[in-house]
Amino acid sequence: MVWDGIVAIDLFLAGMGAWTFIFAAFACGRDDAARKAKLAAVAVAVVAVGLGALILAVDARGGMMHPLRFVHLIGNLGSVMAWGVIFISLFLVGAIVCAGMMLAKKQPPRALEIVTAVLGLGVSLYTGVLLGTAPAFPLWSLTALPIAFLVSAAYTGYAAWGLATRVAGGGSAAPSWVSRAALVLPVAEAAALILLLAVVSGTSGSGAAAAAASVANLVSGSQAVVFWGGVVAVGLVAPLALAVLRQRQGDKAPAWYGLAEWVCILVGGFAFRYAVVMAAVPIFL
Amino acid sequence: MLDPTLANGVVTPTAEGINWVPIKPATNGAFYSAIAQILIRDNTFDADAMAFPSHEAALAGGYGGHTNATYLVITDESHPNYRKLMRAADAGLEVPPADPEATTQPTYYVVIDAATGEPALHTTAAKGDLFFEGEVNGVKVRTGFSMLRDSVNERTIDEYAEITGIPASEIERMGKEFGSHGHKVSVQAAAASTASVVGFDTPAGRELLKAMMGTNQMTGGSFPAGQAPVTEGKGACYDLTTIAGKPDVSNKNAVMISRGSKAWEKTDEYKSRVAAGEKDPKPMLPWYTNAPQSDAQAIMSIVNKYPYQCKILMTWMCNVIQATPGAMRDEVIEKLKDTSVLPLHIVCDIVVGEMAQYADYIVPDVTQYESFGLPTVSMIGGFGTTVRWEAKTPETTKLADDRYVCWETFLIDVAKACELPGWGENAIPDVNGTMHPFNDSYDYYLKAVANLAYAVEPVEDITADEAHIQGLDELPKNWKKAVTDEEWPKVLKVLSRGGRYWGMDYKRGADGRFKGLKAKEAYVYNEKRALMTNPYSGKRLSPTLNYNEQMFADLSLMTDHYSADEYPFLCSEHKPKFRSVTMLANSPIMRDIAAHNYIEMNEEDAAELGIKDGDMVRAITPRGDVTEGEAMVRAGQVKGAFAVAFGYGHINYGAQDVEIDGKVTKGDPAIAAGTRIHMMVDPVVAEHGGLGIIADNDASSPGRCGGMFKIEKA
Amino acid sequence: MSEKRLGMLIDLGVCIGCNACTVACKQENEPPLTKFNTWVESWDAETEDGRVTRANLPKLCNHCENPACVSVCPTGASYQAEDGTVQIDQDKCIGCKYCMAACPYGVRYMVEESGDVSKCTFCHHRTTEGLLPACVSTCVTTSRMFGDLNDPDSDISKKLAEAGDKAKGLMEDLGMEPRVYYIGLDETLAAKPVSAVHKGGNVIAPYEGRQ
Repeated sequence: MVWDGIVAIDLFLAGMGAWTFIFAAFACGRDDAARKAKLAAVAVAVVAVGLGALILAVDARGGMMHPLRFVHLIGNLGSVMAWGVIFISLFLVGAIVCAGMMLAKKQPPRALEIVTAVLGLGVSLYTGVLLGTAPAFPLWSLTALPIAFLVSAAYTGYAAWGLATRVAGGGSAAPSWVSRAALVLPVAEAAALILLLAVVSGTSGSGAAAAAASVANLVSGSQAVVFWGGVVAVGLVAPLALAVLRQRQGDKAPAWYGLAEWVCILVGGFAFRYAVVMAAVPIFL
Repeated sequence: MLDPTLANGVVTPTAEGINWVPIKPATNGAFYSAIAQILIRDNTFDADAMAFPSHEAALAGGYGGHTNATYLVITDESHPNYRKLMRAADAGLEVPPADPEATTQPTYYVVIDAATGEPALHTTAAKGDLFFEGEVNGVKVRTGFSMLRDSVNERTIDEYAEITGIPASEIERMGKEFGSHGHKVSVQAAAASTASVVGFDTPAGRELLKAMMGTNQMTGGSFPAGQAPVTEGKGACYDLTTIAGKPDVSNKNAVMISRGSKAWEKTDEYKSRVAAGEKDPKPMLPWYTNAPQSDAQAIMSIVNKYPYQCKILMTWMCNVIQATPGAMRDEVIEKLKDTSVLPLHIVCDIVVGEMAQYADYIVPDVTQYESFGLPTVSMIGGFGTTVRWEAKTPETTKLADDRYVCWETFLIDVAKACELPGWGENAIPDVNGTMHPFNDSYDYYLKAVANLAYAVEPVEDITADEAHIQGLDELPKNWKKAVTDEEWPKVLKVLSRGGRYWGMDYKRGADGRFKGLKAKEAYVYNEKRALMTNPYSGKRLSPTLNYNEQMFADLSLMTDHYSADEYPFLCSEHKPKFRSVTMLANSPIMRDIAAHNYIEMNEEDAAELGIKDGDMVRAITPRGDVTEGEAMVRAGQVKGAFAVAFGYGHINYGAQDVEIDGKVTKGDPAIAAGTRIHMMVDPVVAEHGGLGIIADNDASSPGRCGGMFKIEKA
Repeated sequence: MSEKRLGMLIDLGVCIGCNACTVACKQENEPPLTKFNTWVESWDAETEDGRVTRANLPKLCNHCENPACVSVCPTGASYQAEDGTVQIDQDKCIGCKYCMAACPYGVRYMVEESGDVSKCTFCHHRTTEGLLPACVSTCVTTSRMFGDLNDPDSDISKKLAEAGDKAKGLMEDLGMEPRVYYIGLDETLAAKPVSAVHKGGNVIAPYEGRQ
């Protein structure tokens, strides 16, 4: 085991936070009435991504013991982690500026929001590509994992955004595409999961045994409970069902449907990162 | 490669032409008998080589070794020399006049001269008749070879296959191949997995097969190994063996405490008990008529206070109880601690191991990097000697006279205090008779190095540059004083090379034989064994090679005492890669590379017992001794036996907490990790009131492998 | 060619699995306990013709031509030196372990005390002084050979040329272009494992029985 649950937390927070911002930027209204809710969502995005980066730094033992070494962090622009550092840093700058402006009761410029959202997209993509460029672990397929992490990040971002805005007192009604996202994202995520399992199962050559062992860990081994229970049942089936129910019942739907849906998505999103990190078997013994 | 356990080494997936053939422990006699049977059956053995009755005859025939295969054996039960090889007098043959100058006179044996068909002295016949059975001088006789033919035919190849666990087809293949290369074949067998209560069958069979193909002292055959110039004896510069004024003390009538080299009926105890009216007395511990010294038997004698009490035990760098299977048990340890059993016990060692733990005095010694030695590499058929020298400053206490505490320093000072000759001033003579002092280890070992430097032809002096590069110009002054100024640069040259070796041709004659040919006789008929009787049962063992089942001290079969169905497993021990026999468990690096050893089991045996790789298992003897360890389930282990690497399973050696004057020093349990074989003691010896290990009834060495066990999940 | 490219060739035909290399490396480089810069994996291996043999496979950093560890390292702490070897500048290492996740050979480890990552350096401190790596120097059967792969007259180049197709790197299909070559690797890996795999004397993969 090279990386463990700590890294799963980081991957989860970064993807979720980035997409919380994206939802805030595009699903919240730009009027004053929506500002409080939007600020809450952006604050969640900043805290999540910032906390993720902090956890990553703390987990980097050498850097923590010799903080000056962090100045080398973008010493190799060929490294996905260096991109991640850049994305995360710029994203945090953008998001914090947005938050600051909203605190000052101003609307952030649209261009800034869009740039920050794009950086957020980069952050969420980075989490999958980071693992995907570690060839010792065939489970972390560069073909399939970034897509799966991206979709999952969007889904958790949607949930965190929903929760944040709800807690902050709602605001203007969400646009209709958000309702569709609540149905489309879990289906897309399921498809991405199937793609991941299929691609990894098809690994040939030196990685084949480790790939097969990793898939086995996920579907029937050490991570089976997390995978089927956390990722699939809690993370996909339950929120999808709640979303369907909520949308069918319309205004009559109890308020807890939404809360439960979002909590389930967040639990499932973390479970996914955790299972993928923990189930991965290295090629070496 | 016949071995109960597949070791790391030459049998790899990439190695061609070498196979691992699993063999059950304690069955080597069966394997050798089977091969001998095939060689005789197919007539592929070298009948010429077997028929040379003397060294001279073998030399004349172009060979390097002879055998007693053609010597006649008296088979007439009524003859006073029954079982003995026939002597000239038995046959009524005249012998050459005795040499008045010689201290010992040769023994003349009788053969049927192959050329004449008549009885002749073994010294006069060019070849003897291998197969003769009949009468000579009215005495019923037959050749040892004819008896061998019978003894190796006691069982069929299929039966030998069943006993050894080697398929009959594989035995046939090996037998055919062994007989198809002329004298360019050999057999190597020694140590660990060959040591059992029937361990003597291994050297006996090995030497027989070497002789049957005429391989002894032949290039490409059984070429003598471990040849070296004289270093620690009468060498080119110094005589390190002669002690002027040495007291005239003989050990001729001394009795080894290990009860070897003495027949029970020749002991004073036997005679006095018979004189006191006892009929057929039995000893408390067995006596071994033909056995050499044995540390394992000595320790058992000490704890039994039999045949006499050991009042002072001094051991150097050994851990006999750890190294003797079955000896490291509470009953033995209690006796070692008891000063009424062992009044004084002095140990010299670099570590406090299981033996040292119970010593009265511990003299610190130095490691191999801090001391000297001139070992001859015994497995190499060349000529030369390695020199191990003090490559680092010893870690032990430095004395006022700049010497370090070690075994040699201890011996020298004790000897000097006792005013023994050969130590101190005027102790060591050089070739001119001038005497030199012996006050430290340099005085001895560097003289031995000088002997090596001047052996055959002297080495060149070391150059100043080379001495400087290697730091040899910085050696302490007490080194240089040990040799002359002329010898010193040559001694340094040898030190700089770590020894001296000559080319392989130095000992290989152009005639395909060893250049230093010495008489090399192989026993086909072992007269010493033929005349040996067991002290408990009076039974005898076969004088020619055969298969012996495992026996206890009275030669009764183990399986007559305990059920083979209930205790079907044998065991074997093998050398560990990451420990020595008793040491290195204190090394963090070694423990890091191998935390513990395993109980190595064949995968089919394990499957039958429901044991999985990594399970904790117990191997239990019929007497309740328990060996517990982690199972290593593998194909590389013979079916029907488990194996354990020795050197693990310490109880002391730093593994234990030690309390001295109320102060507790915590031990490191990691040192104790792993297991060792807990062998049963001999139940027959127990019946006679002794605590004895199971042992080889010829050599007295411990029954390290074999035994009887059942295995169960822990 | 003028540029140096150091590499190693291990003849599995003569490796006896004695682990002298492991010990020499431990003494020379002093990796922390439980960590190894080089080690030997050993297991029982049944060949196609039914022989049960003992396979030995020494392992160490492959000093790849195309090292994943170097490309993923965010700080540039892992780099390729002028002699082609892969080295770590500990002063730049933040201990993110990305290189450990990237290296398919599992040769890198975290040094808990300093927080940075370490591995075999091909005894850089020795080779720059004209000495052989400790493991090569101590190898009792000269199974390990070391030298400049770019020098056609070096012993290693000659032996590699002689070995031809018989010399292979580990898991070449992963594209790292390892520069530790093994003679007899195919035969060794083709044999069916019939025991646990031991790293030194410790089990790293228990035996599950014949599948």
